[in-house]
Amino acid sequence: MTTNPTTLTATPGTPFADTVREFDATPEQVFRAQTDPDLVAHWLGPRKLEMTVLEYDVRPGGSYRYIPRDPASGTEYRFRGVFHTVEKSVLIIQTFEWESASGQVSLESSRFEDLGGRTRLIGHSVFPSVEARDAMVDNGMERGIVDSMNRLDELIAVHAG
Amino acid sequence: MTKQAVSRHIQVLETAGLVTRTRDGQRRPCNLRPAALEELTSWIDTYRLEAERRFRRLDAVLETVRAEENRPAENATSANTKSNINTDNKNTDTNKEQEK
Repeated sequence: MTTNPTTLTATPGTPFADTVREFDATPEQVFRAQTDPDLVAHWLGPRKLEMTVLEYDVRPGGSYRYIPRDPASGTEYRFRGVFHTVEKSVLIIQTFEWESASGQVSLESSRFEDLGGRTRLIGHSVFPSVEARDAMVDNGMERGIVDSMNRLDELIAVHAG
Repeated sequence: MTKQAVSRHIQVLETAGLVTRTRDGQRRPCNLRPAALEELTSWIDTYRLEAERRFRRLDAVLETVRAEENRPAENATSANTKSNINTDNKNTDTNKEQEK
């Protein structure tokens, strides 16, 4: 099985992070997977953490709150935000905040581009500062390294199989 | 390229912390900060990896959404979606086992 590549652009000295990714599904299907709380719980948040979606009210002015929890240590990571713009299968604009870095609120937009049965998802994140953008990764760095090892395991398994 | 254009480009690199500039009479020597480049590469790697993993899980969810929509209406319940995605969780558990 081939996987669609993810493109990330993060220009130095700017507080932006841009992602582009294609999906083998219609914009309606991608939108549903991104807005149905039951489905969201299955992909949002770091892998291997138990996910609790307390609220996911996708409409202009609606709130969301979710808590990934590490089953090994019991550590919880709390995230929350508000949906600003919701155009079904076209555009979502929302705020994003990790409660441990309270006040560092970023603004995220997800644009759904119809490629005729397929979808290009264009994500644009605006962090409050360059430092906040860089810290976003520092906080998850240790986990990221562990994940990259796991990913390597998966790659090896695929090539061995 | 004009001298002014070069200067503008270097200014962008300087703002980004990728080069530092000193003064030596009329000359303005530039020093590359490879460490800054390394920090940036590691930042991009980590961030992209996080995004990539999230998108792959979204792929898996979309697969069940598509399967559900293709099924006859009476079978297309959310219970089916959940049982399918639970299979995916089992795969994650298998990965955990392999890491031990």
